[in-house]
Amino acid sequence: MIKEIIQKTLLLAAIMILTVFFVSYLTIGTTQEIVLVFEIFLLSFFISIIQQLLKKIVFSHYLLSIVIEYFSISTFVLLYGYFVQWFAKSNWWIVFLYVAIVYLPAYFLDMAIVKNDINYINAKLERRRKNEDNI
Amino acid sequence: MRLITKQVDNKPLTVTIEYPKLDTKIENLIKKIKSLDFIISGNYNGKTFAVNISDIYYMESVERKTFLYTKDDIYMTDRKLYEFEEQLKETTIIRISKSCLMNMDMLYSVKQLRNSQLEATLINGEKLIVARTYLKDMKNILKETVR
Repeated sequence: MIKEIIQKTLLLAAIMILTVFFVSYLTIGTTQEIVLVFEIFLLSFFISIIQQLLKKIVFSHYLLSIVIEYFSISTFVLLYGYFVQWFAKSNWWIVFLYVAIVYLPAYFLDMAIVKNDINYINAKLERRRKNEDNI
Repeated sequence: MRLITKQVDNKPLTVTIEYPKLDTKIENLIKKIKSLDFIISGNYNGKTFAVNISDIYYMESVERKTFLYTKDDIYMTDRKLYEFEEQLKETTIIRISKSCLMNMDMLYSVKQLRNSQLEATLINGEKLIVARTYLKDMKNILKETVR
């Protein structure tokens, strides 16, 4: 339920931002902020593709999969940022910090969700055993 | 619950379930009885074997061979794990990692290890590693079958 609320909130916020900036683009034309917003959305699109591709490779070791995903995404953001001229040559490393800032809460959120799922599964298994005893 | 059994000659095995109302318990009972009749076969070195899926604890792929684990026996086959996965789509046997299918009916509990890996314990005490990707499938199958 919490996951669903967060997902819907983020999706709604994304739609609102896109709508507002798209209307701004139509009325006042291109500004630095408008370009930045569209660049971020394009980056998110590519990151989603990378994440889907990485999901195809199933790692049983969660930490390893997180580390591989983190470095894959960071490298891509670095290249993308270089292409759209986000980073000056002196502070290219900041991308690893940004990605870490995004990934850290996501990691803890995922841990909480997994814990909930495990509790749910174990509760259901317990109930199944009770049902079987009753039959 | 009343249990009536009777021997009837020259007729196939017939199970009749009478119930006042169709609920989850009855649906699960029907599924279990149906699964007793679901047999998968394989072959190795020219020998064919047949195993009832309700007897399978888990199936594992090791070096291009697939191993089927039951309570007392281990069967080895040349058939690929994904072939079994495809065949067993409508059953309680689901994928839990890249190299393993597990019978959800044999699952006792799940826990998270210190290194964030997930571990499933079967009713016979055996432990299997579960990839997070498949945790949702496990949850869904229990959501459908247990109420």
